[in-house]
Amino acid sequence: MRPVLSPMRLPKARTLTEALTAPADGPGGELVPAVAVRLTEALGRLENQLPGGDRLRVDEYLLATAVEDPRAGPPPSEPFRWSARTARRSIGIAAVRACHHGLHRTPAEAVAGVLEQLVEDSRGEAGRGGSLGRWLAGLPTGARAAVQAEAVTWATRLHVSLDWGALPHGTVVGGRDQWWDCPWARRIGLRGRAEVRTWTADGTGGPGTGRRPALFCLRPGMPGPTSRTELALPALVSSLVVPAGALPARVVGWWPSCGRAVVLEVDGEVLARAAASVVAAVTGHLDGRSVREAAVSR
Amino acid sequence: MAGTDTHRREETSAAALLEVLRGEPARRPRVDPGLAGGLREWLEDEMAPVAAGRPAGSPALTVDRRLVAGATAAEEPPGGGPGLRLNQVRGLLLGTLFRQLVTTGRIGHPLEDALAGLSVTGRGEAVSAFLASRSAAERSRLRRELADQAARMARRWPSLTPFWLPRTGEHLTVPLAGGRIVLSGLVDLLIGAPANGRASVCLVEVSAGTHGGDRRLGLRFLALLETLRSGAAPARVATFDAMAGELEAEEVTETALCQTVDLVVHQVHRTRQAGHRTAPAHRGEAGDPPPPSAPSPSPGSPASSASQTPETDRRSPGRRMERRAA
Repeated sequence: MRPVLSPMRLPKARTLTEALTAPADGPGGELVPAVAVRLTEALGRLENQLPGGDRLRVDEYLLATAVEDPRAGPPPSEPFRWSARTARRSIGIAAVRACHHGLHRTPAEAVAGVLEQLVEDSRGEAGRGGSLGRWLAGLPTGARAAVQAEAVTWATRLHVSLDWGALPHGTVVGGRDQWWDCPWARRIGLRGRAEVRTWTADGTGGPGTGRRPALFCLRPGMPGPTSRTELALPALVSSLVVPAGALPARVVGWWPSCGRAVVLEVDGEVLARAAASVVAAVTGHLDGRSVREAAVSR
Repeated sequence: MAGTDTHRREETSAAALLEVLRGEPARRPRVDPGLAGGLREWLEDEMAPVAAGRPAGSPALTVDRRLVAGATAAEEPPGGGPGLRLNQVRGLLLGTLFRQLVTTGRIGHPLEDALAGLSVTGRGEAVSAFLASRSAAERSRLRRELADQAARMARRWPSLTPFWLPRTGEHLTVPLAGGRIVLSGLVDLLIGAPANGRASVCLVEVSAGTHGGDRRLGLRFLALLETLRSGAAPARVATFDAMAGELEAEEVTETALCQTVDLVVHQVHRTRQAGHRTAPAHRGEAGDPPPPSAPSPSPGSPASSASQTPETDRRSPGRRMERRAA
């Protein structure tokens, strides 16, 4: 069954939830062993070109930039800095989780609670100067309020995106990112990130129609030409790290700024394409790096 | 859903402002599920030739509230870039304080709080540089002004229950013609859960006297974006004048939305004819507002009337919608 999203149906949260949890079509991921082998071999060959000591994280951002312009190479890297924008997801997702667990009733209350807890916890973090809690603890009132405001907006977007009462038991909000370190290329890691990990409903009882994982990703801005590839990445990582039989049935991407959703049904073909995109992105990254280094040395 | 606009002006207490924001829940219109689709279809029809006429590979045409409201370059709202003007700095500082007030319910030291808030949202350096370039007397005057305005704002602005889901700095983006034209807006404050049967959302804009063009048209443009992205028209839109501590609100009607579509189409055609106002597509949500728009006369001015395009029937937006419904 392919979920259909009607733009006319309100509230959208119910429509999105139904699309996310609709019964799965079938087993879908039979090709994973072959995909994993091909991906492992390709990344193993590419790792040799990675300068000694460097590690490469393949995430949605790297994939998107590589798909948009394969020859662009790696984007100029800037040291990570906390800001209202970089902190909003961490705080916001913890707040929505607190709401989901019944600890708070609204995102605004939950965000205030999360901030307080982070600052409180940071007092025992000797030497962890880069942590979010430490950063927040050192902020003046106005700056912390700006971070709080940004996080409330982010959390409210996620909070109103789904019909939480209709999600099955075992739904996880946030949770740790999934990582897959290539066995033949330990310095290349794939990151799969989803805001909500839940389960589809039971299907017709045929092979592979039982409950399967379903991922929900909240995205900024609006969907673009690389969106399906970006959505396929968490499915690929999930397929690679979890035991066979628990392969994601689908990934629902939701862009609240424009009210658009993309439902990606995960099958072997989608996974194979995602793996090919990963290899292309890593290749582009390494090619771009060597071009830039050559330009610098000239 | 068509009805008469109500326009109220309140200069009294925080409780009165709350009533203006809430309106009468029983009077909120039922959501017309076909309205958003009809408006979108109308826009898509009108934008298709515009998009087709753009050179291949050109960046998306961004249409923002300033373009629609007819802001001139001299009235540009704050962008945080170089060459800030005093009004823009005032707007940035007050906007940041308003966000703080809505979120935390208090403002301690207005100038310090606002500068600290801006420092983590990527606009602090420009404002600090502006202040540093001013004399001590000017800085002192600005500090006093800001303190007065913050005190007035804190006195007048009502405390919102978190169950109204107040969220600040909400980006709205509506791609048209396959993303080659992007309608974009930033709502200072959005209140209310997404609609389920009845219109439930209120959009609030904070004014510090810096937004250019016709404020009402700008707000209606934001209402149109909210309708298109959520599938339901907001119940009302409001402007909070932070300088005066006053709130103006109006109900969102189908007529107003149709007129706004018409205006958007008109302004885009004008822009196409003028051959300017191109900007990179904003796939992500920029922390800063989009780049400044090119100067454009107010809608209804002789220049804009003269450039009216034949495919835009400005006199009968309601008839267009009726035709579409049929």
